Amino acid sequence: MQISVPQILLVEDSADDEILTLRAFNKTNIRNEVVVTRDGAEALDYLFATGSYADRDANDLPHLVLLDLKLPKIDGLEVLRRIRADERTRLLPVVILTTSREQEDLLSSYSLGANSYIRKPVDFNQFFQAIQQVGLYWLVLNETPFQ
Amino acid sequence: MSAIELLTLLTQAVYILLSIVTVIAYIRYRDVVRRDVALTFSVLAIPFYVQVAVQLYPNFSVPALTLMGAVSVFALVAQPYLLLRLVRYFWHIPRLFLLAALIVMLAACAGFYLIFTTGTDIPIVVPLFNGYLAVVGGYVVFSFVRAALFSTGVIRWRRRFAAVGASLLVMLLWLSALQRFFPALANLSGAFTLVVAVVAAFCFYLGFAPPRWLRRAWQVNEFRDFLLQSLSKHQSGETSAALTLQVLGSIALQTVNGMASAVVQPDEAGGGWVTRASSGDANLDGLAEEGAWLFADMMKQGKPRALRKGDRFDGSTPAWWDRLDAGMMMLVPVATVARTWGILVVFLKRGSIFADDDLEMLILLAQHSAILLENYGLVDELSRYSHMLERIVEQRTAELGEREAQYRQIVETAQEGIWSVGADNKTRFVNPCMAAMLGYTFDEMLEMPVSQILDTDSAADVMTDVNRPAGSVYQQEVKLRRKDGSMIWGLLSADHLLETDGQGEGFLAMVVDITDRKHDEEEIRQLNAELEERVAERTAQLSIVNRELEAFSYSVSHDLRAPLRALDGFSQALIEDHAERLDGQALNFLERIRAASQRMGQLIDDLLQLSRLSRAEMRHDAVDLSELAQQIAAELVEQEPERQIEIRLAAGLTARGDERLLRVALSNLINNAWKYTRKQPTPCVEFGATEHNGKQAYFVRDNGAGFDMTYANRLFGAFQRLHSSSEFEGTGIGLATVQRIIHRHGGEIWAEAAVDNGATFYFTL
Repeated sequence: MQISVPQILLVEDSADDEILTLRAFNKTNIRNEVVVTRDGAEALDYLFATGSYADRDANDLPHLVLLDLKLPKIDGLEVLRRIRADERTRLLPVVILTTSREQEDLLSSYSLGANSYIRKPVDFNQFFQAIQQVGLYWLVLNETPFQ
Repeated sequence: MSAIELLTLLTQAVYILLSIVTVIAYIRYRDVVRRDVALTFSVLAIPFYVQVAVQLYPNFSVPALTLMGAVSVFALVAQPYLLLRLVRYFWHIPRLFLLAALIVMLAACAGFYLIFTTGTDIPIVVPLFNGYLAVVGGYVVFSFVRAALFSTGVIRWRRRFAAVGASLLVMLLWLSALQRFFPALANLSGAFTLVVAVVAAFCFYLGFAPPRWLRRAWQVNEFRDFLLQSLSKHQSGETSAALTLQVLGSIALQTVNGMASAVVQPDEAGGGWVTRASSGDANLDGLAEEGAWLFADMMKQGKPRALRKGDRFDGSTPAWWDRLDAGMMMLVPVATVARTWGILVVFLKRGSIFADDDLEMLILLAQHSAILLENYGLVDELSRYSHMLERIVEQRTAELGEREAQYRQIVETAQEGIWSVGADNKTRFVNPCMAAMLGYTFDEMLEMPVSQILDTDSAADVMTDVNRPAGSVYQQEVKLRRKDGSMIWGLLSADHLLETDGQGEGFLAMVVDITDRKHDEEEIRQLNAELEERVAERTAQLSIVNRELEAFSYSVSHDLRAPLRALDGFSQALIEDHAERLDGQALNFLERIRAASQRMGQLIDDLLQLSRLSRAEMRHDAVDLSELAQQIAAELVEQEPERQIEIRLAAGLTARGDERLLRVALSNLINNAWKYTRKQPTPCVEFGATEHNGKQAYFVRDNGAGFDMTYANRLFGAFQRLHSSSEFEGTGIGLATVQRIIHRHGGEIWAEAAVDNGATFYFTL
């Protein structure tokens, strides 16, 4: 078990968005390890060290979860609900990173305990700025209870 | 004592009694007639006094006896003359005749006296006496008999007796005179003479001094005639006072055998006297004026009077005696205790020998007439009242009839059934509408029990309602059975109704046939149920569609944009990472790809907003539009602080609506104004309000590019643009969004513009 720089868990089903997000992180010099899961179920397996991630140490939690809402199998809101329901992940910073501009999604996310809600703009430059700010804030500025 | 002696005694008693009665009567009443009557009978009684005196004292001296005999003879001799004096009172006798009779009578007396005293026979005396006896006696008998035959009224009876008495007396005198010539007649004297004398005395008594009861009997007899006549007139229907007075006058005339009569009455207007009902032959004009003083005195005294021609008043003699050639006048007030009607005046040609009887009779007549008059007055009054009552009753009856007719018409023509039921629950009355409603005739429905008309439940309900407190009317829907057995629905309002005999209570009901209404109600109810079902169905469908739409929108919002971001992102990546391997045109294409992606993203965003606005729930709060406009303008100025633009915002404009939606609408409009004034050297954006068709209309005005009004109808369609994107950026969804929002608020939106001359967007809420 090597413990390097704090991890980021990116839950994103779109490969395009994954590449663009990772590119944005790279361009902002965020060197944290980014773990990518493709759907909600996989994300939960990873966090709670179950299923295909059963051999993982459940205590090794990422520093930040970037969660898309529209996900195969288990959607983002359900993933968030389970994260907040579990004692271990209750305080995990979760930033919703979604294309949805639905007001309802925003409200649901916050009421389920999301720490932030970021809309992914179409314009890459704007998207880049958003990612940059998220990374900078949550990974550098923000103090988490896990450190 | 022999029969003759007894008869003699009776004769003496009768004549002495007669003289005493008449003298007493004269002493009581002291009038001339009674004086003469008393004188006559006193003189007639003298021989009997002498006889009694001789019988009681047989020792009279001869000269005394001779004197007494002479006086007896004188008394007999004087009889014709004295009777003649009485005739005076009912028959005109020339003074000369009376004087001659007196002289002859005195001469005869003197002759007889000489014969008695000297014993010498004077031959002239007896023939003179006989002649006197024949003429005067005959005249007296003739007068009395004639008077008895032609008189009327009460005195007729007295005159008859007087005539018989006088005739008998004169006859006796004649008999005694005839004895000289027919000695055989002497045998008749004695008993016969005595009997005749007694009969004569009785006749005189009844004639000249009748006992009260006898006079009453005669009066009643006369009075009966009067009443019969009055009543017969009354029965003819004429009850007027004038006629009664007329009858009084004519009856009075007849009763006392008068020559003229009248009733004088005080003149209500002038204060004098007027003659009302005059009858008889004489003309009584002027009497009222001439006798005014007398009548006034009468009214004051209130006592009846009988005046003779010779009576003087204040030294003068009234003028009417000679003018009317009347001998006597009787005045009797016609009065009751309550009222005086007038004075009955009756003139007699010669006056009456029995004036008191006549007067008494007149008093009786006058009194009864007064009573009759008063009664007639009461009858008149009663009849007036009765007429009045009859008129009132007639009028009321007419009114009632009219009202009854009105009510009847109302009841008969009423479009409501009217149904009255007695205490025995049987029908008392129905109007035509009610009968027609149930298909019966009026007669068929009479006495029909309630149970035959109402179905059981309805009947029970009606009874319950009717038994509630009085004065309130209850309405309920009931089922009624028609003659053909079919049932109809009726709206029934019932109230207590006291039976006409006051015994027991039924009810009075108004019934309206509501079968059709019930049918319609049922239909409406079914339709409503169907409609509700359909609405529920449609709502369910809609909510499914809505959910699908939401899912769709969600999907669009998420999935449609993700590829765009990839397009844009990778184009950017190419530009950043591989710029050195791409020529200018390739880079240009990549930029175009990026621009198109971003534009698509914007389009999707706007579309989503539009769809969200349609679905979002509306709130209705007070919204400060001026404040909203201020905020929006401030944001714009912040975004482009370098723009020189005049912004005019009216203050204090408020409306009711959804603040979030209105912000979107206002933001779109102001953004547009901001955008389209970009090429204007002195741009101006204005927000204000004006009035349109009585409603407040808000507007956003600019002096920018404007547009051609020809295309105004395309303004509010989604994706409709009047300017190219290169000229002014935009998706063409903004105004569609604004319109959607305004419509959701129940308002209107329209625009006025001209090319290069600005545009004004008006909206109401």
